[in-house]
Amino acid sequence: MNDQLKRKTAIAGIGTTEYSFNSGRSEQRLAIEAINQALQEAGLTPDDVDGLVNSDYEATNQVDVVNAMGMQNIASFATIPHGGGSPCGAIAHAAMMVASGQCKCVVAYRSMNERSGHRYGSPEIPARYDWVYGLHAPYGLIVPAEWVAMHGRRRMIEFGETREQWAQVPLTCRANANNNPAALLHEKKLTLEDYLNAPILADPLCRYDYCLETDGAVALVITSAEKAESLASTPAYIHAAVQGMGHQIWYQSNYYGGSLTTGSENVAAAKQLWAKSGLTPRNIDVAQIYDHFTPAVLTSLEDYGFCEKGDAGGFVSDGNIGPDGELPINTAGGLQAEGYIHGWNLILEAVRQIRGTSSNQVRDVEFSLVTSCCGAPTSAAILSR
Amino acid sequence: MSYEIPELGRPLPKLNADTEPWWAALKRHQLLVQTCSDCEMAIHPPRPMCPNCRSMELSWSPSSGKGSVYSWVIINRAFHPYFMEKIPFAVVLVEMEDGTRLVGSIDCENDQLEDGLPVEVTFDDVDDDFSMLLFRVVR
Repeated sequence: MNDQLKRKTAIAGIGTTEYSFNSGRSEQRLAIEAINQALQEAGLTPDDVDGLVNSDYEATNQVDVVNAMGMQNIASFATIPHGGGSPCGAIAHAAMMVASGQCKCVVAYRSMNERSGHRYGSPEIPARYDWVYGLHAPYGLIVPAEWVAMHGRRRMIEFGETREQWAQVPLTCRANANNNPAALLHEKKLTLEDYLNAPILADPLCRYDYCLETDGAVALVITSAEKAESLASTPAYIHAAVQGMGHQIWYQSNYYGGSLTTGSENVAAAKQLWAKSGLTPRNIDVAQIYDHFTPAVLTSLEDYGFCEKGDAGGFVSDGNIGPDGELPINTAGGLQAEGYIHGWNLILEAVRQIRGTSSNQVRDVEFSLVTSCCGAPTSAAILSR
Repeated sequence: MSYEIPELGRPLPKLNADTEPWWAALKRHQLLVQTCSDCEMAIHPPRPMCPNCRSMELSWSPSSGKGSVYSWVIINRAFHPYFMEKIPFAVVLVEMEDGTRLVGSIDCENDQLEDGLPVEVTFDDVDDDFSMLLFRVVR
């Protein structure tokens, strides 16, 4: 497949606030801080920005960004849908905006006071639940962990997976976070015993299978590859960035068509990713796998081809995902231990791995993968040096 | 339709013209399944077109009401006030004989649950407008 985006663009700047449980600032302020930092490290100013991309769940309106930063040159703007499925889709769309010549410098951003403000893991209590939610809420499946637990149980049924195997995902994320001073859980250790003794909340998931709830913001600057090479920072080339819708697909509750242990959206994204990149899973040196809930990581490792379907429990417990493993994952701590900026912070770590600045740096990284949410229309990207 | 919602009562669905007949049947203690008039595919959740053959000739057929447990979740910590006094409780995903899957409650001990457990549908009356799916184990 001829991909007109391959290495045509690059992430030329990244910015982030601290990750916290209570930022004490507005989401608008967080967004501006992150965008400002991303521009500054690239040696750019708001006047250079001519494109904006964000997520449908974003709290900071694009007009609040341009109004605060005095951006007067915005020529194209987009909002990428499907929440946690959107982050790498934002990269894909920004790359298309630049590669098509519509824009020269696109800012993509995500800000949220998701711990101190609206918590996605807590229920809104509406009188009525619309869409597929209305088929689940009357029985007590109300928040994402409860929906995903149905998929997790099915992994145990089909593949005989154990909680000891599952534990390797949060344990790996936590150990990585313990080396990352910016991680929300930097100072908190997690042991297998802690995991196995934790109360089971939505059986079979315990609290350590859940991502964090976090206040913070991240931002990316995407330019042409040529321009990125002239800027102050080290370019992370966008080797491939794709979206995948899947079929049949709802949000974290894909109960009604096909397998509960395969993400059709993952499969759709992976098929494009490998075709457009010209790579195979063996080429990937390090991966940031969207880890909102542990079983979704296992399903994603299989769907992207890092192991056979049903083998992910063994794959993660055989030492493959640690810093010295075959496929180091979530090297900043992931959404379970670094912070949960709805998957967008995973992109920053993928960039750091290309730059050689991760706190769990993998040696000699050429190709750095990042995936977005399994269980919703999703996206993925491969960055290269 | 207009309803007075009991404050913090059982969560209820919001219906539209595609889904209303299915819910109305539950209220009559009848389980329907949306069926393609052209290719006979059973479809759930209800939708405007058959995803198999793209026909828009869709009708409602009676379901056998029989199926088997495909997966389940046991809720040990509830967020919604209605469910707080019901923990721990199970929610099941049942694969029906027609191939569709349904989420519902189940009338059995949590430790009885297993893959493939044969069940049949019964109806749990919530209020004057809604009945919900309550599966029971077929002995």
